[in-house]
Amino acid sequence: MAPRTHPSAQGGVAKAVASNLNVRRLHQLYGGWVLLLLIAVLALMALEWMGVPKAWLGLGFLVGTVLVYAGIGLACRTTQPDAYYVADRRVPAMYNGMATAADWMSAASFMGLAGALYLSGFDGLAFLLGWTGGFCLVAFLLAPYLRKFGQYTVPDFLGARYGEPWPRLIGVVAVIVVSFTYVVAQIVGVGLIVSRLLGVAFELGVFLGLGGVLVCSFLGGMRAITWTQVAQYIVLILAFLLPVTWLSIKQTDNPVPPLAYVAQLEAVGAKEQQLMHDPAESAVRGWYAERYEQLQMQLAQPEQALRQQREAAQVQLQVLRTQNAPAWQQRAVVRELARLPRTVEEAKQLWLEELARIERKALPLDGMPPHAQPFARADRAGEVDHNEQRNFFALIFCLVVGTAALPHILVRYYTTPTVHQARLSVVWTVFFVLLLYLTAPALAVLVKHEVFFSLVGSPIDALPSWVSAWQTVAPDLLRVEDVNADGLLQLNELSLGGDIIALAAAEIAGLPFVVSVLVAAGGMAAALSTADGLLLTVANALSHDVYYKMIDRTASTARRVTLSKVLLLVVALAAAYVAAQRPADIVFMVSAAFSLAAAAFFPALVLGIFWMRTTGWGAVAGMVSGLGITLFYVLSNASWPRQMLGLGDPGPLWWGIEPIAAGVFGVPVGLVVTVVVSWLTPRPAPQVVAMVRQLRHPSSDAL
Amino acid sequence: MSQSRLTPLERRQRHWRGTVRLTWTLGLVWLVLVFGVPWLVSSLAPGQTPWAQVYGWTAQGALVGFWLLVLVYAWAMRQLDRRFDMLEGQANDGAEDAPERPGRSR
Repeated sequence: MAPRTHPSAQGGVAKAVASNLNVRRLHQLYGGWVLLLLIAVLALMALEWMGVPKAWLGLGFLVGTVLVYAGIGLACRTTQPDAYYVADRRVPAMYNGMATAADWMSAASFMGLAGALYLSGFDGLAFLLGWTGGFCLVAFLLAPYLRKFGQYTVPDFLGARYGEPWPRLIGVVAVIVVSFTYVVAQIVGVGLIVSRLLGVAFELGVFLGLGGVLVCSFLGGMRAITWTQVAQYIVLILAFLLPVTWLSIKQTDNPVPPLAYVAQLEAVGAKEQQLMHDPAESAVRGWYAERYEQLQMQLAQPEQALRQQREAAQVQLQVLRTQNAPAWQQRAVVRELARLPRTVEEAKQLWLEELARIERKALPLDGMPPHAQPFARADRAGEVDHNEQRNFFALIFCLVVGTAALPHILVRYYTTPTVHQARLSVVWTVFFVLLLYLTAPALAVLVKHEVFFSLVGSPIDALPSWVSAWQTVAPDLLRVEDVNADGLLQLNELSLGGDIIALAAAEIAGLPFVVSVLVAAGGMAAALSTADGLLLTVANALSHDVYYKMIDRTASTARRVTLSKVLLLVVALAAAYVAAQRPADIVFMVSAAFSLAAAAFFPALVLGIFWMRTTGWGAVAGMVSGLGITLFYVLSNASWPRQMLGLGDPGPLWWGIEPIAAGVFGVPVGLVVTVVVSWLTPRPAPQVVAMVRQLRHPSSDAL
Repeated sequence: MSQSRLTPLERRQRHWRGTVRLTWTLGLVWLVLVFGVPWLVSSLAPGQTPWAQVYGWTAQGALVGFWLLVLVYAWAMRQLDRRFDMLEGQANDGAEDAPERPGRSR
């Protein structure tokens, strides 16, 4: 490989990249980054000890990391298409693996995964297996072949294999639908972290986070985001592993959480049995069951219920006044009266929210299944829930196939120097992903152990300080209410949101405040790195596939790259605008993106490589029908998009499959349609056959 | 190389046949890991199973298994490339890096 210097290459990383990929130099640079992070954490600890306000420390650390990302992004700025689209195709396998791992692990992996494992026990393993198992399909079926193909985008492949313009155009539409959905979810995540950490409004948090995303990717495209993502991976993995390791040492004296947690899980299982039959627990459950019924009655006749509540409070106030009760008692009732909803609509909304919140709280173990037992339900011990089981496998299917079809992941394998490096790069990706994914189930179990043995049963006014701290900052994530007024905490009196498991891990482990800041920076890095990759994918689909390939084949390279930068900005602003509307459910949006990607791309890409007979018409029909069925099922069954589009109640489920796993219908339909239509249409042209032959072997000898 | 007396066409055909065979073999192992293991686990008798152990082995074992699969794939494909003279030529890689490369089929 001849060394080729870019005029724009400045700064450490860019130099190392331009000067013939000096891997040793890269090791030194990123080793330095690890040291710098550790020194920064120690320095902040010292500052905290000296009494510098915590808010400043948090802000300083977060801004500092984002500035470093921005510096790398600036140093890697470029106007060369090969650098902008595929990072010069000279990213070594290990670093490409690390960057892809950061690209891959979003806020959903960093925060959502441990939460899902905590709340749904064995069923949560669907995410764990699905989000890692998919990389085997990437390795076996796609990465080496796409690298051999060696162009810039996924629609490039569709266009070359299946002919222009329709296959490319449908590919572009699918890339935009999938990546845009996904990027909105990431920006919502960034907004949540920023607003919580800096105490600003969510909308402002979204736009501040957006600034962080843009400084990394705007000027340098793929080259910039690759090298920032490596830096971001290091932050996120340190932030994730440090608290879990500490917690593991504290609980078990074993510094390797994946090995330590099985013993804790046994203890948790025994405690579950005990909690299910505890009288205080069942008293709490009874209270919630009554409250649930009461709310349902109120909702059946809302006007009457609201009137009764108002009258009751007024009567109480009268009684207090006539009895000349102390002023604070009277004030309390006046406040309560003022807090009552003003209109019936408002009241219904309020009650529905409470109903949704306490729905699970009348169930044993706060509605969580016994942690280790597959498809179990706390209220029906020992039985397998077959509906749960079907959905588990359907979800795994969608996640694995979706992983092997997400455009922003697939383009990463265009960036390695050779086919062999592309294969190795998947090995590295899985390695770096596993560092987090092997630890996430341990984190869930260790936190559950902490909750079961240190919180449950202890006096409410003697709970650790992190409980009250989080309850004030984020009542939607943590809430304690003593419903049976015994002064002790029962499990069902504690409401935990999934995201808190990872975010509060440092405090739960009893680490200093600074480590929680590191954790927030890690969550931020996870969301930023994924958002960067996604934005770039959407912008490139528009500038490269639509503008250059379809509108102006004579556009100069500089013009294409400039257009891509402008489009990146436009797409980012559009995504931030949608994110600021607070679309309801992040996990749902992300999973829907997986189903859509799986149905749109997987059959066309894999059959295009492995089955010579696949024709352009077959691919077009397969992509349209797969995507169509998936979209139809999501839109007709998920309540959130239906509300947004003003449609009525959700339609019937097919075999009880939740809309989150819609791809389980879309992918087989797409496969079958592609095959059938291919049989019915004329064979692909000889030059297409020749191209596919080329793809199948790493060597570049002509046919 | 040992297979160099084969014609280029034969080498390509055998290389591809080997690739497909490897893909199927590892793909079947993968299917067992992703779907078979959770299926087997969920059919264990609720009463006498040490669930904590089973959970731990499923969660950790399957993941490490995936990693071994991609590792074995990369290694075995390298062997296959060597055997049939299909390694990417060092001289050709520079050409692949050229900034403007026309699409293959157009």
